[in-house]
Amino acid sequence: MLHKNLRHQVEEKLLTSYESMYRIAYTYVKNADDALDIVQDSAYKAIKNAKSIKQEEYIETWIYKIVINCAIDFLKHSKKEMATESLEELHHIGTTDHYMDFDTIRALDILNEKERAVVVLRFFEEKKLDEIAAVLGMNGNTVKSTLYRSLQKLKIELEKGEMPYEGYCGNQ
Amino acid sequence: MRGIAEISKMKQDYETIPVPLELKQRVKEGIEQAKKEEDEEEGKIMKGKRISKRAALGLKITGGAAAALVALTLISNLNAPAARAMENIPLLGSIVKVVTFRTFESSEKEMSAKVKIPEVEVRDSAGKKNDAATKKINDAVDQYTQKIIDQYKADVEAVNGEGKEEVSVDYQVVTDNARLYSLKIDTVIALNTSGITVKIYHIDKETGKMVQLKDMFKEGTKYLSVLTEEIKNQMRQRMAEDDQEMYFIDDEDMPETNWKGLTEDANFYINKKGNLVFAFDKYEAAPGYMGTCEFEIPQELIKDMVKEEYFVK
Repeated sequence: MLHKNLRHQVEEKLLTSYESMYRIAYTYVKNADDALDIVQDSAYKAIKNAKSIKQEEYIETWIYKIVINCAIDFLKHSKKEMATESLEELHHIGTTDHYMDFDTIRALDILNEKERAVVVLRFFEEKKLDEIAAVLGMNGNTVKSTLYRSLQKLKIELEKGEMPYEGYCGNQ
Repeated sequence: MRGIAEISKMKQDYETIPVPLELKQRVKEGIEQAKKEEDEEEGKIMKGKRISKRAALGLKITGGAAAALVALTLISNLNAPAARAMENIPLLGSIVKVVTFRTFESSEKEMSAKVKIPEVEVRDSAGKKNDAATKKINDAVDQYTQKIIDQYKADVEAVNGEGKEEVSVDYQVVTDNARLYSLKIDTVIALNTSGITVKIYHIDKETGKMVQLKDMFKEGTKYLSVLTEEIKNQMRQRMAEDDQEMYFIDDEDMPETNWKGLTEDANFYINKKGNLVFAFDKYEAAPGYMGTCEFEIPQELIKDMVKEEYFVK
């Protein structure tokens, strides 16, 4: 009877968290169509795997992890496809969105998979450290150090982008 | 701290990522597709189970049937001392039998429970009842089934009897050889989907004691890891041979869903060939449509680790 209950809880969570799911997916694929596909696929996987949930209080974060995994998978597959295409074409991929400036979001690309997941969950979705640790299967201290390291990397990356405009202000 | 300010800008950008109108619809499609698939799978399993077992058996077994079982035990018990007198050697082995059972039945609109609680009797070779051993196994079975009943009652109370739930518990003797007597309790709990749980109790006929997995193996042997590897190999093989078979294994995408390996409380029995067989709950190591599953372990693989006396036909 627990299984059914879990599935129901997952469904409810999906219906309240889909905007976050979409945004997370978007930070990876940077275009609306692919992000929509990823969200739909994640919703499907979440329902299918609902009975494997061990900590009910973490359902939302668990869903985000599925989104992250789907997005990473998607990128891996599209890379394989791209390898067969010409270089010119390659430059256009991932830039279909024209109505927003996501230079800052693009900075996330310098992070590795783990770092990126931690930043998205902690910083964008404001999940607690121990919850992130539990869902990503890391220990609390590793999450902390990963987060710290990631923010340093991002800071450097973001400052690079701003140099031409704010260079004269000095460093602090 | 300029860095922090920039990262805040990043968060702002994140929060203003525009969300397409069709998003909600797409989420619903994902949910519906998964639910539909699961329900279809459940439907198949439930139908199979129902017809094969319960209908054939008839649900209400009256006092008459129970009495017949008791009589049977008495006869075999009467034979025991006679046999011993003839050969004048102490007969190994207790006589273990399910002598009767109690039922818990309840139904409220669309909620119902039928729980059969078997009662076991352990007698020594002279036919004398071993009270301690008898009490031990019956207490274990009682506790186990009572939990299921309590959960059902709590569910009924929680929804005032207006829910949908069907609980049935039945038992089966899966091993009764020269050395072991194993009693399997099958629990089917159907809400919208159904869970099937297995629990097997074992009595060593020689000692009258209850036996666990670790008792079947020599001390210091690494049987859990050997068995886990074997079962994983069987899962991989079955998946390779048949597209329809699917187990929670080697999933890199969602490693937390993978089967974690055999534990001490795994359910097992010795089949007619004298082989060790593991019985898994539904969902334990495979998706719902696979139902409960079993893995038979080849003797060759574990022959150096086992206490041979238990592995008889």
